[in-house]
Amino acid sequence: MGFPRYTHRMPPNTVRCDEPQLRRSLHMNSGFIGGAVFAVITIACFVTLPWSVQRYEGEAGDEAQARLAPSLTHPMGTDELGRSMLWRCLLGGAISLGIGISAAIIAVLIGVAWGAIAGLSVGRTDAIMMRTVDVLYGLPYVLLVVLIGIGLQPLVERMLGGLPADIAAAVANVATLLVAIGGLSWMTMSRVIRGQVLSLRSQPFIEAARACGVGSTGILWRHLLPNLVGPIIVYGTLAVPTAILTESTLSFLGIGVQAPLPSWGNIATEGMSELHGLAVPGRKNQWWLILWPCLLLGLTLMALNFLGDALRNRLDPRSRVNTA
Amino acid sequence: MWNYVVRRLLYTPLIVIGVLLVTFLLFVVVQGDLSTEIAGRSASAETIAEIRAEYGWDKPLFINIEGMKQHGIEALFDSQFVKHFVDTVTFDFGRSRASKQRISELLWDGAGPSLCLTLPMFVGLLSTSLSIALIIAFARGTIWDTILVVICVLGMSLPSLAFILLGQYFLAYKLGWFPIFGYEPGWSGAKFLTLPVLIGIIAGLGSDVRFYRTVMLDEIRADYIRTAYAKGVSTRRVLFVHLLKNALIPVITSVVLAIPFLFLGSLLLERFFGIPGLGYMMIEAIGNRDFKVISAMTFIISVLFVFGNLATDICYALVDPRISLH
Repeated sequence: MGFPRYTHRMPPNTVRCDEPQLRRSLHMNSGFIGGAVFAVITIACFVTLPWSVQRYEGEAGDEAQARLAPSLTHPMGTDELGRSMLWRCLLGGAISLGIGISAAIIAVLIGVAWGAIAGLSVGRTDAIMMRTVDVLYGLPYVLLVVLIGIGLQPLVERMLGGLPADIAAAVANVATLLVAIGGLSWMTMSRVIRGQVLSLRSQPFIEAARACGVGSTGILWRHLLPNLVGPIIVYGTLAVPTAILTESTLSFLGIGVQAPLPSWGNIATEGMSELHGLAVPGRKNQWWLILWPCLLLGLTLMALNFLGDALRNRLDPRSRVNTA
Repeated sequence: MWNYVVRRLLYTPLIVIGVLLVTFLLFVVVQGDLSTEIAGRSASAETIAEIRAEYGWDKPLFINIEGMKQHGIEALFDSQFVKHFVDTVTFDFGRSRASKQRISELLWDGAGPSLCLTLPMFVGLLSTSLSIALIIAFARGTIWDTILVVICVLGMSLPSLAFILLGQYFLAYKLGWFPIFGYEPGWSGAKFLTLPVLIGIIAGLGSDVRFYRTVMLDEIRADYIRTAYAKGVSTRRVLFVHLLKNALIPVITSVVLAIPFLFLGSLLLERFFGIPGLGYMMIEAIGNRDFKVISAMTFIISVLFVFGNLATDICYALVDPRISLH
């Protein structure tokens, strides 16, 4: 192909040998702290899931308890319908993280398969597959996620026919979102993997394997994939915050996770109306409606970004090649 | 060079058809319950059939073999896809379902406010993040570099809603420097746009600075930089002439490819600041299930992106004499 190859957004690979030791250790420490913070938040949200689902009140809260400041009975306060912010943030976290992690897994699966096939097959197939990726990059991502979400939702709802209508709608809502986000964010992954496969396949050990009579499936599974684990882990880790960010942006806009069901983005948007409520005389500043979801969201994203960066510095062969 | 451009332009229709096919197929998947939705849940089968006929949804998807048998060969192309294709290529997108206005007019009206928001934001973001990245390249490896990188990751991780909220609450509500909300056409609208533009720049700074910093650091270790220093060229000249020029190549990619998306406006900023641009229109269209508007928008952005891609490649050749296009 005559096209010059460009990388859409070159992944930053930063640590070099000539940089001070301080930075390297700082990277490792920030990665460790990031991983720990992410683990704590994730475990907290998923371990409490049985209870937070039980406490899920939909739109029916205790009106008498509405807009209470944080106290011992309600450690994070209550929202405008009297629902406990703590339980909503935990359930919302499980939903946000669940969407983020599963979308990242979907993106990794498609991206690795697409990139490996394109990298292994020379010529026309490779060109067509990579041009497809180019076209997909050019489509407005958010609009496509929304379109696919709307398109899939009735199908999934029909598949869940046995469940009560509101539960089926909620499950379909979350499921379509994560499929749509995952199904549209594998392109960077596929480019990285393709580049990696291209450079690996010309190396002597692959040639040796071929000379020993290993078939192409064997080469893919036994020799190429183990060498791809590094970039897969790195870009998989970095795909999670991107997916969470997309979900929260959609929820901010009111087209993501739908209303009574909480997600961090959703809870923050509901709290946002508090700002307009400030114009009402006598209404006090109810910071807890906005602080918790934004804080949890920001903390999770930061932890994942630090973890991903630290992993990249350790595992990504691209940054290792550049240390020379 | 011209050979290459012409060949790339010949590819363009193929990509446009691909884009049309994707949006059309998405439509088809969504369409089934759209007719019941328009008619209302309790509508009779005849009403639904009428609506399907009115919108042309009773026709076959790609080729009309039945029609050809009855009315001759030209009826073969009396299908949904061909109609969609012809309409879209001639920029006749039909009328919006909600407001009954022509979609092309809607798009035209929305582009102004959107560009008023995104253009200054884009220019401001680019110049600010490039300057900060240059400073970091100068201070690489020091504690300032580390601090700035940490701040960048922090900025990347804060949800954009938090930026909007902090800006609206402190700068607009508490300090009263800007109006909280609203839009006016013309120069008087500048006071409404300042805050969203500012917030857009600050919210985008984190990831952009980090990207440009990598680009700069990749270049600053190159041999020609060492040569320039060895020749006794001043630091300022090395940074602004030698480094910046060579770092421009990856910058051009991200810049030119970002331009088509400027037309989309900013979904979040337009919504929370009440700016009647294309982003705002999009959210309303999604809320109203106004798929014609969404598909028109998708089509326009994709076409712009294809040309943006071409422009990027040509810019490469202009900036970097080592790249030859053939």
